[in-house]
Formats: sequence, structure tokens, C-alpha cells
Amino acid sequence: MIRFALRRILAAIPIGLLVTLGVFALVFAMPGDPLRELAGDKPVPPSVLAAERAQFHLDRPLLVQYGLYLKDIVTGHFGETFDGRDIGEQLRLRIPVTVKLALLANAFQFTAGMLFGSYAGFRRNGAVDRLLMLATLFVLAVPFLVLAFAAQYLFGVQLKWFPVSGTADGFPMSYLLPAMVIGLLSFAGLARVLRTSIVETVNSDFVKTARAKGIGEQRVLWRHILPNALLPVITFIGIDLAGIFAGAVLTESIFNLPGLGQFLFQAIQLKEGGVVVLLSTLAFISFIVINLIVDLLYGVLDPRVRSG
Amino acid sequence: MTIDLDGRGTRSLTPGEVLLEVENLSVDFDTRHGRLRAVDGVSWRVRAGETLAILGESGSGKSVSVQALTGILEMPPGRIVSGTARYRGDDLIAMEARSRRRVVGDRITMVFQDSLSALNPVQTVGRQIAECFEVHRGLSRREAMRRAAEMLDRVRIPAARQRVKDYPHEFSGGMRQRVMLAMALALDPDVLIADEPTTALDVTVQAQVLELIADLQTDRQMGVVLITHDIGVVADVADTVVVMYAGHVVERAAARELLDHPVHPYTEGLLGSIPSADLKGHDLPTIPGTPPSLRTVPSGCAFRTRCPLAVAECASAVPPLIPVGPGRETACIRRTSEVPGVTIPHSRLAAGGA
Amino acid sequence: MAELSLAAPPVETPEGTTLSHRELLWALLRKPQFVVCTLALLTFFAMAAVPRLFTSVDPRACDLSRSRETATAGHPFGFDVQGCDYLANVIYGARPSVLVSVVASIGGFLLAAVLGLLAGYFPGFVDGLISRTADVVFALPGLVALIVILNSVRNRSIWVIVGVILLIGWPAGMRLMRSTVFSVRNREFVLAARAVGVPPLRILRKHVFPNAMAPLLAQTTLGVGALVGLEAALTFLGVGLQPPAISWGSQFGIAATYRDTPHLFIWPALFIATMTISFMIVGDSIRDALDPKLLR
Repeated sequence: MIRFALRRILAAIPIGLLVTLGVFALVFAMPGDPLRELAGDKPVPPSVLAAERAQFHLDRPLLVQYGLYLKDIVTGHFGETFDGRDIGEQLRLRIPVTVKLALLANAFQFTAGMLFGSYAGFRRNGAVDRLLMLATLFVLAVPFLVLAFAAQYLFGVQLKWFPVSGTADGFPMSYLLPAMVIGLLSFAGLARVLRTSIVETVNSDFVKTARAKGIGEQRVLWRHILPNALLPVITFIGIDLAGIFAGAVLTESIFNLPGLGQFLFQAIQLKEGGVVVLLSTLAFISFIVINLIVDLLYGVLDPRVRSG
Repeated sequence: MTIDLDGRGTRSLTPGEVLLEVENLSVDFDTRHGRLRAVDGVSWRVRAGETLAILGESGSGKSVSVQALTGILEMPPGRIVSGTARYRGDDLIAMEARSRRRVVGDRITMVFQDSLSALNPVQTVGRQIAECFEVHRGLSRREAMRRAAEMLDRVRIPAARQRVKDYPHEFSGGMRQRVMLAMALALDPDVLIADEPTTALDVTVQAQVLELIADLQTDRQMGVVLITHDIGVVADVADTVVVMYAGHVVERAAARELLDHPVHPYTEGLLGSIPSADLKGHDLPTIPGTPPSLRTVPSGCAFRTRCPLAVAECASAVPPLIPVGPGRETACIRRTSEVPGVTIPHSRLAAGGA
Repeated sequence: MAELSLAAPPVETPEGTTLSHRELLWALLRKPQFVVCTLALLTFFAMAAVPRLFTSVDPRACDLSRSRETATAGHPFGFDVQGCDYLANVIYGARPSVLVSVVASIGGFLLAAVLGLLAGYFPGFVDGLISRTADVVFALPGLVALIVILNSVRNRSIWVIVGVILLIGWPAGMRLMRSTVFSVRNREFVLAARAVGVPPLRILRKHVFPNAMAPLLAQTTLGVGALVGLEAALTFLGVGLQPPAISWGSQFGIAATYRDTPHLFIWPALFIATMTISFMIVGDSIRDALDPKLLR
């Protein structure tokens, strides 16, 4: 198992380098001089500009720049943003914002998704099932943007239950609304996956065998149905978690939360190659780690994967 | 409740004692096309030490009938309309689920056709066998696992002690079917219901599995209900045969008699379509047409549209089972006595069978 | 046992047979939700093609003094920030959404199908090249890559947006196609074609593709609606269509800053939601019709 994990991590390193280099090259290729644009109309002495350029490695060729940024990341010297904020400090402030949002959204998603998904699966074609299928179809079909705006308008502007945007009210108040919107979306997917999986498992032959063995319904449920029905759910949750970083870009923009997604978006707009490389590296590492955990978990729960 | 639950597993069966008796069982399915009858007034019985074969094509209702009486049929869409299934006098169908679970899985056990999908893929075979001992005998997990290993050994799986820790996908098809058997026989049942147990296996393995069932059966006079579409299997192991067509029993007889002198035209057609050396150079006789789907069962005798003997009268009513000889019955208004035109030579059966 | 349980509660089609195109169409037309949603989509397509059919007002004829006014006679949706008729703007906003979603879906289907066919049918170098590239692209956080690329393009037309979406989005469909091709490539009819010397590309076109395309088709139809949302999200983030282009995404962007004027948000939201739900239900119906087993 440890060897498997190590192999996966080693295999991920070249992909990670390619991915972050690709992202960086795109930022590098953006037209215009970022520092001059940042300065706006103010005249900047050429000597100052040159010094700043050297500070952000902007005077070097692409690969050297990329290498220097990587070195900064590995050694932990993140430096400053173009507008003089300490990047390490920014990370310390922003990571908790994104993590809190993700945890809250997932808590909402899991409870609701598992509850409704399994109930609908066992009471297929019942009232709850039909309602859930209709509601989740609606949630999955409506774009996230529309859903988020509608929630902001209804619960923020009209009912005033939650702040419309920003983090002025602190945790958890400021995070509830965005977390519920993200959670609602993932909940719909999770509930549907779980429902389908349970319906398929309940009708499978080995459940018939278990019943033919004369064991009680509770035992059939816990020992035979659920361990099999939850397998696709793990895959789904993995895909879902891996998408959190990208999702944060949109969510944090809509709800004006100062998290990593917003940071990344600003960095892209300002063409701050160093920050973009740093954040894409972070995103990639979380992607790989989540994938690894999912695969390991799958291996533990499904013997067919282990030996195959 | 008169079932003797104390001496389980050690109580001996009187040879010839009726263990399971099904009477007038009818099962419907609720579908979008309305209610369809899958099993219609089926009766049969199995005695201690006897092997009863239920012979029929897929869709004839043979599996549905046993699934209904053991309570594992999905209901809805299934629905038992009428009938009783008495295990040593107690009606399984009228029983509460809780009481039925003490019979089904303990005194009456089942083996299914597709052992790969019929075993839980994420549990070791040992745990699945041990579960029977834990649930029905209250054994500890450790003791149950020890007994599971014994069972694997008893169905002749090599290195049983190690293999209890393996998962179903790690066994070959024949070995997996033995695992199913070990599970079904773990508690020394009185009746084993085997639903197409050998269909998915190749011929040599098929013979081994059937032989194994027969051996274990003679040990303690177990009754076996063998559901099959394979006349060769019937010829090999059955004592009594019930032939089903479109949800009805159309013929019932001792195996030897049925194979030698089929009375019902359907049985006759089945036996006639076995390939053999005698027929070399001739076309293989087949039954014309295909079995009806439940939606399109013909009125009267369900077989009449494919029957060479059919007359207008056949459409008017479902023919009842009529005695045509000692211990045998046939549901055909054109064949009311045991003097059919054909006899099937034994050599053909041997050639066509397993 | 498996065969019997199938035979007992009959499904729409006998197992093993596939529906002909005409039967498929009839099965679909029998579903009211499919008919309603198809009509809705046709309406949106017409709106995108000839917006003048739906409104006679010029969306760019504005009167600043009427900025953000609510509905009045002749202007049922009210006015936008610049005092333009909002109904006309919302109707003209259908074009980018329809174009992006439909063109990117068709393009994405073709791209994923071709690459998936090649990767699935030619193991070794071709498969390795395509699959490893897919791994890298797949590991990119999709939205981030889209933002980075689109942000570096100065003049973003609909075609640029579609192109970048295709560039980032192909791996998922390719993987699906590749796995179905794997299951088809050693089937008897393919082996037979190979045995009689049919050239590989012809085998792919005539034998493999028709038998391996269904899952990808189903996934593509279900994904059309998501592309509508993606276009809107990109424009909202400022990396999609640029002014003066009229689109639902840019209307959201403006609505976000004028929270006290709900009609700015409600109308494009209603249109976009109707369209995406219609796409979803149509896709769902097609998938159900293609796979009778799911009907149960």
C-alpha cells in the first residue's frame, strides 16, 4: 500500500511540473507588461521598473523564471505580490477562508446527500424519490451562477437572513449562504449517484442470495447492500473534492470571499506569474492527494481493485 | 409452529417423507401493461432423498415459483395470488417473514445459477459461509470461520483453510459454484433448491457439481429441487420431473418414464430436439415458433400455437392435469392416455445429456 | 435466473434488440416532457437565429433617463442600466448562449470521438500519446485554465471561447469513448472485418464508431446545458464575451452590482434556466430511450 502510494506520488511529479509550467507559460504569454499596467498612468522611473523587474524575475527567460518560482516555493520564500503584500501572510489569511467554505459545503452535501439518496433508493418511486429526482434535475440543470444569484437575492436582499457577500460577519454566518449553494449543487449529484447505486445493488443477485440465507433485513442492509452501494459514491466524492479549487474561483468572486480562488483570479488578471505558479501547484497537490486517498480507500473497500 | 427447531442439523429424515409441498401456487406481476400471470396454479412436492427436476425454458415461471415460496421474490412487482407451500406441514407463504427466515436459509437453502453475481463481491467467501452459522446457530465469528473452512473442504475445494480468506472473483466458475454449494449446505438443510446450478459451467465441471450434490444428498436423505432447462441434467440426476410451459405445469412423471414415453406434445418436442448420432444426415427436429412472452400467452392451452396436434378445441380452456398412468399426469386434451406415438431411445439421451 | 427475472416483468423492448430510429423517435414523442422541452429549445434556437421575430425594439436604442425603470406598457421586462429595453436585450442575449453551447457540444463530441477512437483502437504509441496528454489536461483545474487562457486573449469572439472550451474539455469525453472502443474492438464483427482485410480507418468508421458512440452521445446531450452556464460564468468573470456584445452572462455581471433592481437578474436567469433545464430533460429522455434497462 505504501509502495502504491509512493509510486503514484512519483508519477504525479512530472505531470504536476507540466501542468504548472503550462499555466505559467500562458500567463507569461499574456500580452502587455504587468508592472507598467499596474502603475497605470503614473510615470515610473526606468531604474525603479528595472529593480522591480529583477525582484519578480521578470527580466529572465521563461524557463528560468519558472525555475526560480519553483525554487521559491520549495524553499518557502514566497516573497511579495506586485502590490507589496507578503505572499506567505496572504496564504495564512486566505487558506482558512477556502477550507472553511469547503468543509461547510461538504458537511451540508454529505448529510443531505446520504440521507435523501439512500431514502430515495430504498423507497424507489415513492413520493420522496420522485420529488428528489425532480428537484435534483432542476438543481443540476440550473447554472451555478443563477443559483448563487437567486440565493443571494432571496436570502440576502429580501429575507436578510444571511449577508449577501463578504466576510464581515465572520464564521459561520458569512459562509453559510455560499456553502449552502455549493452544497446544494453537489448534494444533487451525490444523492442521484447514491440512489442509482442503491437501486442497482438492492436488485442484484447477491442480495437475493443473502435473503435466501434467511438473514435479517438489517444485516442484509449493513453487511451486503451498503458496502457495495457506497463504492460509486467514493468515486463521486473524489471527483467532487478535486474540483473544489476551480469552484472556489467562481464562488469567491460571486460572494466576495477573500480566499485562494479570489487570490488566484486576481493574480491571473494582474499577470503575476509567481503567484499563479504557487497557487496552481497548491491546487495540483490537493488534486493528487485527494485522488490518492480515494484510490487507497477504494482499494480497501473493493477487493477486486486490489488484486486487479 | 410445529417445526422442531432444537435438534436442527442432527434430526434424521424418514426416507420418502414429504418435505416441501407446493399447491396451486399462482404468481402475478404488476407491469405497465397491466397484471401478468407468471405462475398459474402450480403444484409439486419433494420427498426426502428425492430429486425433483422442474424443467422448462426461460420465462416458463420455474424460477419465479421457487422465489415466491422462499420469500425472495421482489414484491411488488411480484404478487402471490394463491397457493400454499408447506414445509413439513407449515405454510411458508402464510408465515410471517421472521418465522420464514428460520426455515428458509436454515432448513431450505438455495443455490443460484450465476455464482459470480450471486456472491457478495466485497466479502470473503469464508465470511459469507460463516454468516449462516452466525445467524442461524449463534456461533462466534471465530468458530463460524472454522466451520466455513470445513465446508469448503467438504465441497472439495483444495487448500480450503487458506481459501476462506479469498474473494469470489478469485475463484474459477466451477470453484465458485462449489462455494455456493458450501454456503447452501452449511446448515445441513432438509431441502436444497438449486436454480440452474450448472448452466454457466462447462460440461466436465457441470458433471462434477451434480455429482457433488448427489453425494451430499445421499448422506442424509436431503430433498433436492433442481430447476433446469437441460434435459441431459434431468436424465442424469432427477427422480421426478415437472415440466413447465408458460407458467403452467404441463406434465408430471417419474424421470425415467417421462424420458422414455413423453406424453405431452411439448415434452415430446423437447426430447425430439436433442441432437444425436441416429439423426446424422437429417434435419434436427425442432419445436416451431418461440415460447410466448407473458403478454401474449395464447388462450386455452398455451402451447397450442406451436403444437402439431392442436385442434380448435384447444383454444377454449386451459387443459387440466389428467392422470395418464400410475403416478403421472399430463395437461393435454389430445393425449389422455399413456400411449404416445414415440419412444425415445436411451442412447439419444446419453448423447445429448451432460 | 437472471434471464428469467428479465422475462417476467417485461421491459419495453425484448433484450438484445435495439430500437430503430423511427421507434426511438416515437418513444421520445410519447413523452410530454420531451415534446415541451424540445419546443422550448426550438424557440431559443429561433431567438438566436432571428431575434427580430420576437421583438421589434432595437436593443441598443437606449434612453438613459429611463435607466433601471420597471415594466411598463410596451416594455414588459423594464429597462436596463443604460435605459435600453430589457426584453430586447434578453432576447438578443440568446445568441451567444445557443452558439457556444451547441457548437462546443458538437465540436466536443467530434473531437472526443476521434481521439477516443484512435486511442482505443491503436494501443501503444498513439494511445500513450493521447492518454498521457489527457492526463495532463485533466489535472488542470478546468475553470482556472479557461480563465488563464481567455485572459491572455485580447479580442474574444464566440469562436475563441468555443475553441478554448474544446481545448480544455476534451479529455473526459475521450476517456469515455476510449473505454467503449476497448469493449467493442475485439467483438466478432470487428475481428471479421479485420480478417477480410478492411483497412483500419474504414473499420473505425463503419464498425467501431457506430457501436461505441452511444455513451458519449448521451453524455454530450446531458452536458449541453452546463455549457450555457459556463459561457455565462466566464462572461460574468470578465473573461468571456466583451461589451458591446449582448449576452446573459454580461447581464448577470451588471445585475450583481445593482442588487436593488431584481428584474435585471430575474429575466436572464429565467431564460437561461429554462434553456438549461430543457437541454437536461431532452438529454435525459434520449438517454432513457437509448437504454431501456434504465426505465425500470
